[in-house]
Amino acid sequence: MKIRIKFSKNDSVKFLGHLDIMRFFQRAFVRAGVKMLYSEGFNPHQKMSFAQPLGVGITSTGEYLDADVVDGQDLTEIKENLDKACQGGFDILSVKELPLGVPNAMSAVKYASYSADFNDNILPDLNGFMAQECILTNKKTKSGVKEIDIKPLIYKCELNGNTLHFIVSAGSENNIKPDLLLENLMSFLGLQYSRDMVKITRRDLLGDNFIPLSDL
Amino acid sequence: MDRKNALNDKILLSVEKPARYTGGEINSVMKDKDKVDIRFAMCFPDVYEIGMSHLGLQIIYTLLNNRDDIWCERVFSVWPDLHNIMKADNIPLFALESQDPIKDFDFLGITLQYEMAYTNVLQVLDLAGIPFNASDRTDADPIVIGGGPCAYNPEPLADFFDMFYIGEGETVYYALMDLYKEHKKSGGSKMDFLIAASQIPGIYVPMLYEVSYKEDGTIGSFRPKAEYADTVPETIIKQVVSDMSFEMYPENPVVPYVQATQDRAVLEIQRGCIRGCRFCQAGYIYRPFRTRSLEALKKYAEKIIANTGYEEISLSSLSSSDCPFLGDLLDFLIKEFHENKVNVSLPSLRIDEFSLDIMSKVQDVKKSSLTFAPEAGTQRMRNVINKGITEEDIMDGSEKAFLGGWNKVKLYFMLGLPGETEEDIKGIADVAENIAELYYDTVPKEQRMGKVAITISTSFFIPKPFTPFQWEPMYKPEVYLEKAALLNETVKSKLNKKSIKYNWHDAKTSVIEGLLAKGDRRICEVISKVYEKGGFYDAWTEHFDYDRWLEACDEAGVDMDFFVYRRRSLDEILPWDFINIGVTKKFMLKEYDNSLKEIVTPNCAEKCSGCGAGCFGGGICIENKN
Repeated sequence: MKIRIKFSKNDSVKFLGHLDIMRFFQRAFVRAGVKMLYSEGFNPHQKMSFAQPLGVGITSTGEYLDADVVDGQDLTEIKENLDKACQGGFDILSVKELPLGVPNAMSAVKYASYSADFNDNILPDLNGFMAQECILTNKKTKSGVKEIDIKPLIYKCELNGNTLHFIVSAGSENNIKPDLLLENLMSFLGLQYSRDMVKITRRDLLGDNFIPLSDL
Repeated sequence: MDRKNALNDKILLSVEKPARYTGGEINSVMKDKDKVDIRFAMCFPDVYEIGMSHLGLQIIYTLLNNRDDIWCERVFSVWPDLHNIMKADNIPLFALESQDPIKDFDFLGITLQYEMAYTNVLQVLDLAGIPFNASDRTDADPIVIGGGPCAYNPEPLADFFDMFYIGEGETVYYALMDLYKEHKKSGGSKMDFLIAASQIPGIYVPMLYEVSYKEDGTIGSFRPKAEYADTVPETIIKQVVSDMSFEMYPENPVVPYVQATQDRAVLEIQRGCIRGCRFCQAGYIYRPFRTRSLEALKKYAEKIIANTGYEEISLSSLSSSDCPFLGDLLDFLIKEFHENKVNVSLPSLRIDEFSLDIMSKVQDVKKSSLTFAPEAGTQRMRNVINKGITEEDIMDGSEKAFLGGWNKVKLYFMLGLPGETEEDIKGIADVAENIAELYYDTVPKEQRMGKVAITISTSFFIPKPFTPFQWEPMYKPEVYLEKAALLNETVKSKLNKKSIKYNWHDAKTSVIEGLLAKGDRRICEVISKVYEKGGFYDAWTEHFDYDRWLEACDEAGVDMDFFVYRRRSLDEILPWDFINIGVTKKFMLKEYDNSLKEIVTPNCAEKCSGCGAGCFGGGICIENKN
């Protein structure tokens, strides 16, 4: 059966890169005694896929991975054992069986919701940032730097105290990294952006109609 | 619960692989620092990924943390990017688990695995804020203790360490810790503790000894200082585990988040080696040859995989083929780990006992090439170095391999061995050429998977303490390069030259390694001068600067001709003579003589040659007598 695991990436492991996390879960499944399905061939490996890589230094309360496991295992047990095997770096938030035909996490991702906690009260208001006609940004792509308008890719951008909440486009098309938005916003406000002035958390990954991947 | 970090996010986001420094890995041990009596920082003086690949570190970590009164944490060299930040911002070096400064610890243990890491030892002390010289430290500084294979000649580092541990960590660490606790309780001074510790077998406290030199620069005397002559031993006896099966094993090794260089579970099947290759220090210092029991190994393997989730387990030893139950162990592991698809890998197989059966069991090997280490190109030279294999063994092994479907062969040799002639050098190319020809003779055209690919790698021979070649000189770098050039030319003249690739090591690093390996206390100044000039990570080619070393030698008045390029006289006092490894100097002399006569000495399994390691009362020395 296919299962979808929702997990958090806590502060203590926020500096791990995507490859480190993949390797970590591969071993966590074995420590947790989860019976996995393996690919065929000379170099068999576990069948699992992550929804969307997360940048180094960013925590999350809504990461997803899909895995193929041997049928008949108890989902509650998997959740508990896997959570124990993660020793606090990641919390396993839910484990659900994926019905046949549901697209995998990677292709289901359409949006990501983030919060950015600023250290000080450096953003008194957004000063009409979202009222601009367009928000032109230089985005690095495989073929070089391209100027794009990211305004249509921002679905929410609100300031609440020192915390900015925003939902942006994510997934294989039009993925907007949180830094891209924050850098643009700061420059609009005439401020210099640096990563250490803000704690970024990915709140969740969302599919069509802004439904969290765990509820699809 | 959130972990604290010694470094702030700004720094961590600006350095390469920040997870090297944040700890919290699976199976890392957290304790309450207020509830332990001793805080021990265990250091591997190289980058995290290298240090975390080392089994010895995991053994000491487990050993010490098994006790409730000790908290052992880990510390590694920081990479140059972070080094510069820590220097600029005055951030003290910290341990990974608690993220507390090393300076607050009771002990800083540093494992010495290779000589080129010596400058990193000073980097660790520097960043920790601990004075380089033990004599400049106060009672508030941690006690700096060194161990590992390089501690068998501790003299080039003598100034920097409060003590060295000569032998295997499992043996007397608890006694040392108990003694320290007693002293802490009774409020004794550090000096009192060091003097008391020097009486524990295997513990060497360099500052309690004095060395005098003759006019020609050789050692005149080496002995305890007069005021300690009654209490401090004249020789230090290596400590060994007598029966491996009953000792502890790290069944819960720390699993790094960042990919380690050796990213797999390690199962140490045996210690020591029966072979006695005359260039190999490990072959002598780890005697006697001891094997863990099959039952214990099976249990360890199951537990390690369950506790780590590793997808590969590697058997570790100096020569796996000498393990009496290797086939049974492999059968068990392959069956046991079938479900979880755990790969079993097996380095250090000998060509003479090359068994296709065993090799084909080991799945991983199928994908890679076969590695043979004939070490020398002619039978004459292989007899000189006591590498008891023949050209026939090499050819038989290769033939079986070719018939089994392999077509890539890696060959390891040494250049600059004692008494080497041009013929010996050219012989290396002959071995490769003969193997190439054998491939085309053995494998019919329609079964060939492309061309045969043979890679020759040569390192330059470095005489090491506690080997029969310890008196031997080295050649100058330009001579080594001439030797490599001759071999390269010879390879190029062969019919199958297109199937043979040749790589050689850096000659300049080799002679500096020779200096550090065979030096005495006068080398300490060279190492500290190199560090002052900005040199560390010398084990990394891109950071090694030969001229910096030569400059430092000049300034310290250390003559490479004397320490490296000189044949030492058989009756001079060698800097490491005060250490007793069981194998006697008399035996080394006999072996040296045998090498000159090109006589092969039988291995320990065939016949006991009376090397002296029998004094430890264990391993093959005893089994063979029963």
